[in-house]
Amino acid sequence: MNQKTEERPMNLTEDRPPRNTSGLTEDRLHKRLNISFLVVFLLLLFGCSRETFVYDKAATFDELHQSIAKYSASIESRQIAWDEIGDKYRTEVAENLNETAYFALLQEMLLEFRDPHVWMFAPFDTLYSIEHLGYTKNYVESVTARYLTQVEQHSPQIQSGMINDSIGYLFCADFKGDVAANNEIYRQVFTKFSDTKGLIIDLRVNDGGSVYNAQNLLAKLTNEQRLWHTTQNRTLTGFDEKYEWYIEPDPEIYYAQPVVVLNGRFTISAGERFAVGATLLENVTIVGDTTANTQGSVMGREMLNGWTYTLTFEKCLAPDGMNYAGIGVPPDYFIAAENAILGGQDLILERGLELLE
Amino acid sequence: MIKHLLIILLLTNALIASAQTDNFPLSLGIGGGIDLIKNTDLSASPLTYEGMGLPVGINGFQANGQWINQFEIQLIIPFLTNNYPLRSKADTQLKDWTKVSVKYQLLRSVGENSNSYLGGAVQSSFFFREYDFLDGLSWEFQNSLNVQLAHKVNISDNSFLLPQLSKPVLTYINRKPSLTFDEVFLDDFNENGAASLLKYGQWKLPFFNWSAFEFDVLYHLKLSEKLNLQGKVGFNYYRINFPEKVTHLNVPIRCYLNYQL
Repeated sequence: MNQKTEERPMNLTEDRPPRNTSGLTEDRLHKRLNISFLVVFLLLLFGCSRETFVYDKAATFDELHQSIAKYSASIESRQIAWDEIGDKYRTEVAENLNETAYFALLQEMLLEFRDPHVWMFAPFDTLYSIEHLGYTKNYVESVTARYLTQVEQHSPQIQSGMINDSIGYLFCADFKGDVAANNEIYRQVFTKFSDTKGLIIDLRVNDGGSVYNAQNLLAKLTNEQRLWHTTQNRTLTGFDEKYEWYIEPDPEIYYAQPVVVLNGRFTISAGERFAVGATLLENVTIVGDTTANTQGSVMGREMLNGWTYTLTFEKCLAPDGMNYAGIGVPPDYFIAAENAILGGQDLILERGLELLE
Repeated sequence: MIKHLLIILLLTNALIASAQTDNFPLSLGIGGGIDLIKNTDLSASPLTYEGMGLPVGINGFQANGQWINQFEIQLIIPFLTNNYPLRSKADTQLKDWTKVSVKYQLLRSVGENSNSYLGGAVQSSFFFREYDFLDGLSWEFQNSLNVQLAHKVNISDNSFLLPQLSKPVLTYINRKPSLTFDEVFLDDFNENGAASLLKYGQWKLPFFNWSAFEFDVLYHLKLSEKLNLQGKVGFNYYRINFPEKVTHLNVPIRCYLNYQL
């Protein structure tokens, strides 16, 4: 019987599948095709997942505004009309703003707080609020260094020296670093200064850090426990209960001689809390300029576009209920920053020395 | 939903005609897998983070005609395993995160010669992460009592499937206690470590600011007289509404090689 013309002629191994012209069996060809489709599918899948991130500027703005309303202690402390500010800047948000313009818009809104603790970080720019407050530094290291002898650098942040062989000088660039290690340094310094007739503590560029470092330094200046300040954190409904901070006298060190603390507009955060403590101690006088204006602790958060920002979440009150947020701690003897360094003289330091002499 | 699930499981069982194998002596296993994670914690960030980790784990399994005992410990800890950064759509990352889970469950068959099981479990899970901004960290540490439903589907003399539904009914949750971390909290944490977090906890019943459920399918294959292979695929979900909402989805995929004692 003849085979049908549409059937392929079978050879002796008729159970073998027919071969195509490349030599592959159809099974193998189908397998290769399946694998190819799978590879292409996977490439498309991973290719599609690497899409450029496009974010909603209005939604990002709204989330930022709402989060600050929820977490910031400064709205109440500084009596900020945050809703009105939000409404004002919201009208300028447009989806076609480029990143630089959008950053500038948010920066302008955040600067309404005038809070040195407010920062914003984008991949291409950074906002440090203190750079926009018009503050002038009242400290120049090279000028002050001329007054010092027996200079000792105890840590990257802490330096001590002598002035006129009778007055001790302690410089704290900040209150960062290990609390126990710093306290040991303070003890060594005060032991070294035990025979001096007075002490200058220079915090004019102290940008803060751990409040415990500030507390340990204050502890050397008193022999009785004192209420130092209270703090309260933001909650969703307002603030939590007051936490009381005390100056606890150091059991080993008490410096009873007169002390002059030098402050300025770049004395920030824990440096300002130290200043609050200094106002409570009878043997301590503050000379220089008002401090920066932010004492509460700072936290950070993300925005919907991946940028980050910081804000003050803590309300800080002096024992008499005074809130120095937005104001700063004033000195006992004020010298304007513009008049601080003249003719190679550190006039703030010299005023402090006059008070101690 | 549970009724429908059981009906599906029963129908599946009806389709597979095989001899039932009910006795599986205690075996202990070691293995690993993949954890797919998706987490949104509004108390830390408005961004959703997704990614995966490669856990290591140990498990134990025992089954006789009436009872099924299981325990499992899973660890994704940076110094021990690979945990790749969790990423957001804004291309931010959570590089440092830790996930630990410990669970023991006891199931009893309901009725004579039944492949359906009802039981309970005690479970402890911990998920900690550090965000890449100032003091950005958050966690959930949940200790719960669960109700378990399961149905064993025998595939052959040497293998079975065990789909399971687990619903926590009482939990003690440790979460960050407030929106913010002040110096007292951070000092406590830096000095006393993770143990300091234990004091921030609340008892919760379902739907009071918390809900959770887990579903997984266990596949058990006897390889030899002493060796078994266990694979598991699951889906876990929880939502906690304090101090702000966190939602967490997790698809754990596991494979264990068990040695029969």
